[in-house]
Amino acid sequence: METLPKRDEMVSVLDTLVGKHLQGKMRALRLSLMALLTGGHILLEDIPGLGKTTMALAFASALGLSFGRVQCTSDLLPSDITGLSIFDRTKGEFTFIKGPIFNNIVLIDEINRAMPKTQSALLEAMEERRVTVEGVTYQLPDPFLVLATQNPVEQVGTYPLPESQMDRFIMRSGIGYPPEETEKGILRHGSIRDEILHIPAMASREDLLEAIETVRTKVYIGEKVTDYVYAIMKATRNHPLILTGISTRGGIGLVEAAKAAAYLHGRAFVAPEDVKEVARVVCAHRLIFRPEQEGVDKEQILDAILKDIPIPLT
Amino acid sequence: MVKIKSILGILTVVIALLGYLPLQAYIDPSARWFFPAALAVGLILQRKGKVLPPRAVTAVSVLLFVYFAARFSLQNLIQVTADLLVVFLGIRMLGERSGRNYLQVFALSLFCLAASSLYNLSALFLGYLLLLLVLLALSLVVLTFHSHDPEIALERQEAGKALTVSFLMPVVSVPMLLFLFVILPRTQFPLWNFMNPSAATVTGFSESVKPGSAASVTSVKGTVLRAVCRELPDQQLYWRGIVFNGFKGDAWVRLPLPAERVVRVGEGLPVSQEIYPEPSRNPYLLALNIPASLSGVRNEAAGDQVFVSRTPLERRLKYQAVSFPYGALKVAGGIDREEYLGLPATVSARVRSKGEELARGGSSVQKLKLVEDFFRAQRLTYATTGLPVGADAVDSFLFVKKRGHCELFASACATLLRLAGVPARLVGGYRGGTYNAMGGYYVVTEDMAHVWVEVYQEGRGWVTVDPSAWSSGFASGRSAGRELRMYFDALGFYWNKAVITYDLEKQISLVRTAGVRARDLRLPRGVLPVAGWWTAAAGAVALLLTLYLRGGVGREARLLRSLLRVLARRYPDASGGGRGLFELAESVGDERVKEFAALYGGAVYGDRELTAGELSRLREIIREIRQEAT
Repeated sequence: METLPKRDEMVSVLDTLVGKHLQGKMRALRLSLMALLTGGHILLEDIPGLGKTTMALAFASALGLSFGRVQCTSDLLPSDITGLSIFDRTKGEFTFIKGPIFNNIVLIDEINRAMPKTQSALLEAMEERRVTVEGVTYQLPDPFLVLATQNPVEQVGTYPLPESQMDRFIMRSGIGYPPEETEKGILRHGSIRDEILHIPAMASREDLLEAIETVRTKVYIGEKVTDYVYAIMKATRNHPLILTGISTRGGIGLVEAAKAAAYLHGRAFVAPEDVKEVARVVCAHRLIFRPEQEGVDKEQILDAILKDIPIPLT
Repeated sequence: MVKIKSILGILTVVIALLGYLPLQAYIDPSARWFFPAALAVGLILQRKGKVLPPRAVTAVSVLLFVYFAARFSLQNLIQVTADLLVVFLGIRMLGERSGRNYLQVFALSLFCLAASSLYNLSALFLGYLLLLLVLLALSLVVLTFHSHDPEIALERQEAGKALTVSFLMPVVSVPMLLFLFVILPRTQFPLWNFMNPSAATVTGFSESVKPGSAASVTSVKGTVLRAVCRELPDQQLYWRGIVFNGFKGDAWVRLPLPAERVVRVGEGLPVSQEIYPEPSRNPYLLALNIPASLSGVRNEAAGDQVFVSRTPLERRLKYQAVSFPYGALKVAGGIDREEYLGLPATVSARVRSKGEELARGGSSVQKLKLVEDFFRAQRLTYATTGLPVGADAVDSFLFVKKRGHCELFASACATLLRLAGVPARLVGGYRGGTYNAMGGYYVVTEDMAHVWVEVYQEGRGWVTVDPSAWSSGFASGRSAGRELRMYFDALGFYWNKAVITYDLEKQISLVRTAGVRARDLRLPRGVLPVAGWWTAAAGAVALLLTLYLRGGVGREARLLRSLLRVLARRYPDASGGGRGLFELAESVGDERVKEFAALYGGAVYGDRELTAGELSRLREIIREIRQEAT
């Protein structure tokens, strides 16, 4: 079987991170890496204090990438994210000071606290991978990953992301409490924030770019798996509880995420299991339920749909 | 995906061939070659997606009809019909395929097969028929799909299911068929009438003859028996049932007499009969006069050749009898004369004096002649109405009213003979019978009930004498509409014969004969190798087609199936439905299963065929796991 370039490096980064520094964050880390490999962005939806920032920091340093962070508030301006031009007296001209978005990994904390104007500027940057300030267009670095977090509980004074903007994130996932033993260990040893700042880089930016290229070009998705993906999309579109099913962009996201999953499994082809693995995180947040069914858990419905669709075996 | 249209097309071709093949050896060469040609052209046209214009098809069929119908004559009625059937079948295969045309093909095939039975009816016909019926049921189901949407296509699995179900329909209906056509008709009584067993009637003859008991006799037309035998002269048609030898008051009855030993029954050629009596409560078994032996049903033969059945005759049965219509019933060592000279309680003075007058007549033959002369001189009339009644009916019959029916004739004759000292007795049975030339049997009806006399003559034995024949006006009339009635009667008779009295023994012997015949079955020289080659070629083509159609897909499916099977044995807990191969491998935790998944998935999900190396490795993995499992 042909080996996928840089796959082993990526897996070892994950393993080292989870083994040494970030116990119990395997899933979130893995999803983040997958989002990075597909060139998409991830929305982590969970309560504060579960280590989202820590994870993002560790992730960035382990991959040898630059890291930026934006803490959203209701008076955060777009320029606070993108950067702005400041007059330099000594030179007698405006110089552009890059905002935090000009990093490989950008953590947007509590994105729903930012006002819609800021949100849309951010989302535009995520989509276009470039920022235009005062008529000048600046290219964002490559690779580029936005890790946005959102607090699902506290809703006062927030601007929840509309469904159309949720669609921009390839994945949405919770981070979850760490397992009991791990959490006790964390309690004993205290926060590891300092330690994380000194995590050595285990991969280079070039490695990552090669990995991304591999996922894009070398991982093959066959007819049967395409059929399977389409069957999932069709099922969400025809489901009685669902108003709007998965869009074509959602389908593309599903395929790309599945490719990344296959890559991490060391396969040069997408298996239906890869699709199944990422379907929850890729699809659930894209479903829009009928008004009377708002309260239904989207992931549960999606699980039920997945259960009904037979996996193509031959 | 399987196209219903193509399934229907194949079925129709097979059905048309099933109609054509059994008939092709017997039809006109032009028709014999027309059908395959039309079939081939039709198939080619269909393949090319072309359809002959309906007008052209109609014109062709009209021309062919005229061509074949021109030879029509009464001599080759069947030939022309068969030719036309095959030609029309060919035309149907040639023309456009629509729901109605399919149905016509089915009907024509059935007709063709039916027509072939007019030429040759062998066990092969049954095979053709069964196959055709099953295929027809199958095709009709497929046709309903087709009529719903001609372009409909089913998943392979769905199509398989639909075909299986429709194949099962004729198979499942077999028990019902057996019940309706084998069991029900064989019940002896109507099922809804079982509480009323007296469906059987008492026959027209009774167990006693009492002249003067009724002023008129009404005859019923119910059938008494059917007897398969050759056609006989009318004067021999006496069906003997019971012998009345003594009296109970004024009535002639049957008394148990000392057994007489019959030496010889009749003379000349014997007539063997196969007799199918209608259900009756009368135990007497009838046979042509004079019966020598009777078999086929358990019975007791009395010394006077009266046969009494031991089994009730209330069910349908049959028996065989051998009779000699000529001659007399010779008895060894003579008879007990006194017993046959007894007289009824009432004998009028006129009768008595007449009898005494006859007694002086000499030998018994002469006395009989005198009685006949007397009867003729009295100008007695045979009638069934205005009969003399009362205790002195015989006297009234002979001297006053001079009209009577068989009972009066016979009892008067026998009484006079006895008075004259000649032993005589009455015989009850039937006279006459309508011969059904179609079925080769006689039908005897209730209205033919008759009583005649047997006179004992020294040296000859019991001689049959029918005094009614000495009357004027005694003849058996023939009713109009006889032919048609005979036709229906023959139908009913064959039904009884073939279905109801059909016995297991006969069936077994039939099978045995069929077995013997099959052993002797010879195909014409040279047919066998040719047929063998054709069968082999057809088999090879079918095999190649199957392989081509199923191709690689089937191979992978088979591999996966066998893997899942061995996994279910090796890891009984892990195998769960609805899981993917990689999930399964993960949950089993077996490196070989993971390898299998990687190799297999690489081909299946990578849209390529398994290479030979991969294939052998996969098989090896399965083998290894299987060995572990056992």
